[in-house]
Amino acid sequence: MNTPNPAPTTVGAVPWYTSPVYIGALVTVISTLATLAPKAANALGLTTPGAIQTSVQNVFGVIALLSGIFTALKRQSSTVQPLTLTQAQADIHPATKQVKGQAGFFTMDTSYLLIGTAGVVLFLMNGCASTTAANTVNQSLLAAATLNNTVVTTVDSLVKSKSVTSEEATAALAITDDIDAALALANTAAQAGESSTVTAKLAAITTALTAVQTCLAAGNLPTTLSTCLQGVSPP
Amino acid sequence: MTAASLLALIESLIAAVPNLVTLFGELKSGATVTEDQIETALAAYTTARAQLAADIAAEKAAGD
Repeated sequence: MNTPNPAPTTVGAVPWYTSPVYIGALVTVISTLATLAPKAANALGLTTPGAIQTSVQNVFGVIALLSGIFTALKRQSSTVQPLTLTQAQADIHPATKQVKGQAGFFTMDTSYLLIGTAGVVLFLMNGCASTTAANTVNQSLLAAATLNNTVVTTVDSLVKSKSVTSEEATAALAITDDIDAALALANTAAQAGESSTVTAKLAAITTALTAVQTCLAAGNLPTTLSTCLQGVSPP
Repeated sequence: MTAASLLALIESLIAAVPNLVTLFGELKSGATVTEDQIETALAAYTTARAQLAADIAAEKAAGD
């Protein structure tokens, strides 16, 4: 029977001059060469393993420095995200105006506030400290309900500031309605002592709330809020 | 986004922060959460939802 090949794993790319393995390999090569050709190594002052390692790392450090300078110079001439000296200049830059014309664009101020709010409340949901199981459930329910309310008020603020369209806000409202209904069910189940139901509901609610907050926080990405919210499963 | 609308947005978001911080303190200390607190939070959704629905309707009427 044929089995599908697993997808190759990777941790992302790095430039060659920052790889510890690559630097180590080069130190080994030069050390070997120094052993094979001691006169040449002596002429370069590479008489000990420590000296070789220091020398290689210094060379690579210079390359990294030059690369950083090159990157900084190239970054200044970037047309993808041009740099300006002040926020005022950035606001009136043609590239900024072009992006602001796209649906789903939030200002950085908005995004940071959204991220901050999301971080605080998600921490609430995961960081509850209680001595009884019943109180832990109550804490989670209260935190989730508060977060859902915060999502609604945040979207309302975005509507008022015309940062999202009425269609996008309606899509968000449909999801918060689903979350509110699930919260009501979870609360009823908690009062009836149906712990397994409560646990399952709370897990689904947390997943949905996290996804919604991610969409709100990612509002300045090149996608609309509606598109992002389509990926949110109702609890 | 005009300066006035940005200010309104920031003010509304900042207004929510003290409530969140207070709640955070209560929960981290392990304070008992009563059923009334949950009911109050759930009831607050109705109010917030009504406000959002009204603002969505206003935006639609204004043609976005």
